[in-house]
Amino acid sequence: MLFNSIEFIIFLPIVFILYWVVTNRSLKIQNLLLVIASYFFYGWWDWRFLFLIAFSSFVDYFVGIRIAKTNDKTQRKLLLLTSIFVNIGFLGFFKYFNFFSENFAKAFTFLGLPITDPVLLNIILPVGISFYTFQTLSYTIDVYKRKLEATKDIIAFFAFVSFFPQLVAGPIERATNLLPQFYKKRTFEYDSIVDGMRQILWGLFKKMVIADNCAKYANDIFANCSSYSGSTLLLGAVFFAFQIYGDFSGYSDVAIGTARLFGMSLMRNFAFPYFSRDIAEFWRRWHISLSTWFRDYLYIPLGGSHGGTWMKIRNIFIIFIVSGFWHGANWTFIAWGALNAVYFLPLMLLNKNKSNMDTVAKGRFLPSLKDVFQIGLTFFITLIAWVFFRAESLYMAVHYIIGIFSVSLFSLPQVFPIDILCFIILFTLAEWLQREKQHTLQFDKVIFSKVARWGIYYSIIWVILSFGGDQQEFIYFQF
Amino acid sequence: MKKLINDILKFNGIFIIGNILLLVGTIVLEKNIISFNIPSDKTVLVIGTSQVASAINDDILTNTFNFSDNGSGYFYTYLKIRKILEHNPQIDTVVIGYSYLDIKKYRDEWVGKATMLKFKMPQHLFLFDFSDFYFLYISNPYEVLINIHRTTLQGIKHIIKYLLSSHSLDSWGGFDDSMEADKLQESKNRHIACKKIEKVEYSKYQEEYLLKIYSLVMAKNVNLILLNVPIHPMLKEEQKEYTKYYYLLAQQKLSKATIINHANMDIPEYGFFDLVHLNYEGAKLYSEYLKEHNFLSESHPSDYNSD
Repeated sequence: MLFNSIEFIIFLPIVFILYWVVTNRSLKIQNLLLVIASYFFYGWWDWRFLFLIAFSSFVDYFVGIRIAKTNDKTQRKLLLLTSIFVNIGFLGFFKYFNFFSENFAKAFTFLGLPITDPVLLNIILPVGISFYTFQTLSYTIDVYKRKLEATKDIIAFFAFVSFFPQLVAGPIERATNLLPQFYKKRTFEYDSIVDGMRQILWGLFKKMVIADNCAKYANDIFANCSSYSGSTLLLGAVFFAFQIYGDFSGYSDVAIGTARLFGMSLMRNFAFPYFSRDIAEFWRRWHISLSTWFRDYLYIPLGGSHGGTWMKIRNIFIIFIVSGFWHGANWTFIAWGALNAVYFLPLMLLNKNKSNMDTVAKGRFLPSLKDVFQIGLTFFITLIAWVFFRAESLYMAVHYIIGIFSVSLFSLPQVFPIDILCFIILFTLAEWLQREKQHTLQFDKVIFSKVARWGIYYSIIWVILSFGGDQQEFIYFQF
Repeated sequence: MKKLINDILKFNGIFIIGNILLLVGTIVLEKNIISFNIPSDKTVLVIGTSQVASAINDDILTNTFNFSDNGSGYFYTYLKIRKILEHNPQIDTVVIGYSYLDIKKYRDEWVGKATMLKFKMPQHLFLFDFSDFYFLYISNPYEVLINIHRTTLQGIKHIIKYLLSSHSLDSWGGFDDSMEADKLQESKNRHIACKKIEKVEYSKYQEEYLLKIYSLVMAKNVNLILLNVPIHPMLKEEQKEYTKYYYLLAQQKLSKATIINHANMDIPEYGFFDLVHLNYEGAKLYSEYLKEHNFLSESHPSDYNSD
């Protein structure tokens, strides 16, 4: 079920009313309702893959209990490996089997042992598998590390794995944050729920007005890149940058806002990343739940920033390449990850990766010239990396980038949708003004009267309904 | 909870009422500001889809007014004919596009398909009466309701464009001279690549509104010409499949209308934009041919020959 669909508009109020009016007297029944609603939400797309989530949940639930029961190191390790094997096994099978099969065949052919007909599976990728796999893995790892007690409440655990607002595209929650929330009785808080609704509204605006409209132009320019000028290709990359940001952060906003309607608090996933002054800051602000997941469960166990220079370089490359590969089974994602590692390395080696920890131009309206330059440069190098992310092959990505840096970069773009560009400018301005808040529509009641607030909501809804682009699936569903 | 429900009801109530007022206001403005009076020397109304829009140059055929538009099935064509006939008593002939493509099943999608509704309904809503709205509504209730909202913005845009362009009706149709790029080869390749054995099926919505057009035009004592404009010879075979029904319908239910069949007329390759559309050069050749033989001004016997 898509957030921007009529089905969800009907589904959400029904679950909301059942949750707060019918089942609010019993925590267990409330959790059970969330499990049923979440399975219904996921099954709306394809009910067959519900078995996969259920199986994964069962395995991790029992593995968690067994790990907690034993102090035997080998047994604990074996249990953890079972969980990793099952979860990564599913992910590997559905997402990476064909990639490895094809590339092994290519490698053997290159070595003079041709494999003409590699085994390829004709299967669809279960939506959200990369997200819920990582979420459930965080549980077993944390239980193994004794950071979290294993739960005996199977309904709470199933609700944690399948919680519908963030099931298919994150934020990838930590068991330490989300699971305990299922143990406590939730209270109905008007202000929090209304703020959740505001965040949903802004998320829908990002998705339907910014992302879906940019998608039309980005798709066209990337599909016909050889016939466009350098300036148009650059604009195409800008459209894609806003498409992917609007799409993914919009989804996260709707997910976080929806969770708040049920009294649940999810972690922040985006913190105005395009206002970052260097790439390290960008990665602290972009897809935070994934970056911190890799930091905690991969980077730190590898040694993190401790050890010698080569060790640091190795770890940075590993984390960025794995992060790229997590996005998809294609060399383009690996190149995107590697390029970000290249951007990150100088900061790391010069010990400057933590020089921009606070919000840019904090307490001021205008940034300094230095800020503007740094933001511009960071955005530009991010654009170049996005080309790899969006392109269908490495060849196409390189061809696209060469096309940008041609003489025609200084000509007028062949595509110039003024209305979309105006929306991008207004959107960026709104985000800039609210960059110190948790989300763009977080209002101070003292400053904004009810009439002003409602006026803003009406305007946004009106813009969404009047200018919303053709409905497109969320990009991150494919990951 | 009570406060939240109250606020939500209040918020939605204001939104719905406000939108209805805006919509009604826009429609009233469109109805009052946009005039469908065309020059008095234009006595022949030519109307249809992009095929007709690109084929008939009304600068050459000076007594005609080409009011065709891309993606306009007979439903929207009917609305425009009704409006034009209401305001222009000088019209003595209505020429509508009538090719085998117009009766194919896929044209049903031009009524209820989301992408078509999104553009076409807001463009024409002020021309609707209740039965037209109901007809469209039952074709796709959800999309009709969703897209009603777009009418306000579209309407305002149309009014501004109309006032700024010295009362031009371009927003609803006209001779399309923009088909310049040569897409013929690409179109041929696609036709060959996608060629499949098609089940011959006919559009029910197109037929329903074609008959309504016929009744409307006959009631006004105006001549009706069903014009089959030239298409590329590559489509000749495909066209044949539909011929039987195509003529049967005209003979049985549109007996007072005249059929002019130029589908197989010889137009040089350079005159085609793609397989179904003429380009500017093609339109020039064809319009001059029509003018020379007075096809649209004098009465001619119906031509049922499909070869």
